Amino acid sequence: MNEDEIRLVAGVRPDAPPYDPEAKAAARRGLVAAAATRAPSRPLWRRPPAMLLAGALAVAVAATVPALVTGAGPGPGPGREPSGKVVVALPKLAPVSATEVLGRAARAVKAELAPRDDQFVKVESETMYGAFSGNSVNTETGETLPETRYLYRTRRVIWQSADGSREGSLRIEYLEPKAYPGWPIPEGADDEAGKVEMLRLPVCEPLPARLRTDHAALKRLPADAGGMRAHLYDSARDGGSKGEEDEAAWTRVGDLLRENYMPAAQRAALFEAAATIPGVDAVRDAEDAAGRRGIGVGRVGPDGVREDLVFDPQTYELLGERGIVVDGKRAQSPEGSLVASTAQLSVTVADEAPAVPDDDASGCG
Amino acid sequence: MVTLAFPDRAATPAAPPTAPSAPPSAPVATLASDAALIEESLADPDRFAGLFDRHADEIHRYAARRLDDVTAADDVTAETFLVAFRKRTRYDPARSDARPWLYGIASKLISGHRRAETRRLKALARQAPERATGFEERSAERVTADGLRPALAAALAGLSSAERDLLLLVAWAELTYEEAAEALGIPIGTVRSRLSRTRTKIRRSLESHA
Repeated sequence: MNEDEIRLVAGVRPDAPPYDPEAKAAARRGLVAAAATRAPSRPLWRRPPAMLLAGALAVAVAATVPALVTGAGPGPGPGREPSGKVVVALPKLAPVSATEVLGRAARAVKAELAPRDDQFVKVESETMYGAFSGNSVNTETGETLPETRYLYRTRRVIWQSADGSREGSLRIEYLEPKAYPGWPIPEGADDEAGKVEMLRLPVCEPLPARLRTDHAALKRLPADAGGMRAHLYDSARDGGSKGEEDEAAWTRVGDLLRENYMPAAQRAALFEAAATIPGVDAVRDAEDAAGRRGIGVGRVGPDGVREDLVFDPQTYELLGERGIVVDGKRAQSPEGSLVASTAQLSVTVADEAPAVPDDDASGCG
Repeated sequence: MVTLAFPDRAATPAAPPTAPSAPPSAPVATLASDAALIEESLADPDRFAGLFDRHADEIHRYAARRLDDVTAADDVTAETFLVAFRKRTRYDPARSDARPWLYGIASKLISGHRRAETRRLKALARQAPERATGFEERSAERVTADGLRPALAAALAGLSSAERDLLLLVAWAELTYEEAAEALGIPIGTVRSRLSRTRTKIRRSLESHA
């Protein structure tokens, strides 16, 4: 029986984070209590509020993931020529502090969106980041596959239910790839270019409030910097990753904004809170995937790549995200190279999400 | 012989967690089968915690792989054993290994966390760049598959929940077809035909990206 597809799926099995000993002990206590009373006692194993780390880590692994969201700025619009020439400069410290940039961004709020709970937040974005493969031995032929890298690019449109109660959609169009700086572009890198796929985003059992990122939940987040900072660090506190709280908090900033719409009050609070994360600073001459130049506010990750949120230098409108190599050895790419770049092209409200054909309803249990 | 008692009620500490696919670390000869343990737990409910000690790590790993949310994985794991405890009276004592049963319960609970799973698939579709450390350590198969991640994630997202449950029990939890049939409560013939259909769907989805 040909099981190639099963092996392929096995090959992308995600790493599992360790079972937090406290969570495990709580689960066991719950079970023991249930056994003692011969009745279920769910509350015992429900942990006190603590933020998930897996989500944050998954995004950290995904390094500079797509598109950040701010006000429904006009952006270049869908018809704009993507990217064009990317002029990369070594990151330099901008003359303004990160706190100042973020403070101005917090005041750069434009026309606000107010999606109703039954509507959708529609976000169009353009993304570019690394595709890695090879550097391995083919177990069947013994042939060594050389490591290859390239930058793959997509245009994404996502429709997400404002309160998570309706099925959403995700459209991904693959664009022409680019070479990964320092690496030849491999054969077949452009195989996907031009292809379009639609994914269905089904409705599920609501997450605990602290984990939700739908618009309705974002509206309820703290509207002050201190409260928002506490919320960010909640996500870093749990999961057995001592010493990585700042990075996780920074990652959470992107999680809350990416392909989403955060109301003005929470957005301002978030920007101020982000500025207080150790290691966050500002650089000039950051450029988003649509070629818009701005000031990058960000942090260097463990992979030697600095992740920035890119702001318009005049209005401090948020433009997108980018990844730039600051440690060539760790990143295996020349310092100053652009290895990830996204642009937020539009954020709007839609009444409906396009239907995605599916041969089976994948409900939630 | 009591080797799996609660730490607070006996001098013997709980058995250490078992490795993913390794046998329990205690000598096999001294361990009751899962079925025997479950049977004992009918009279002595405390014994059921022994099942948790044996399999909680494995079930948690599976939940964490499918759900992009470690808290959800914690909840699924805890709930799996509570559900199992409540259902233990109906456990078929002929099945000495309880893992398929537990995986079956966990699969149903995971489908209640579909949003976290959707996020996982979206994250895969975004194609995670390598972590700085992991690159050389990865298996050949996995590295090769990495280039296919976005397309595979799309293919996985396009499956029905029944197809995805079965496929991932085989591909990620490494259950045999027989164990998967037991986990999902379907005949082995259905496992084969459903897997065959699922593979075709994946192949077509990948080809549409090629």
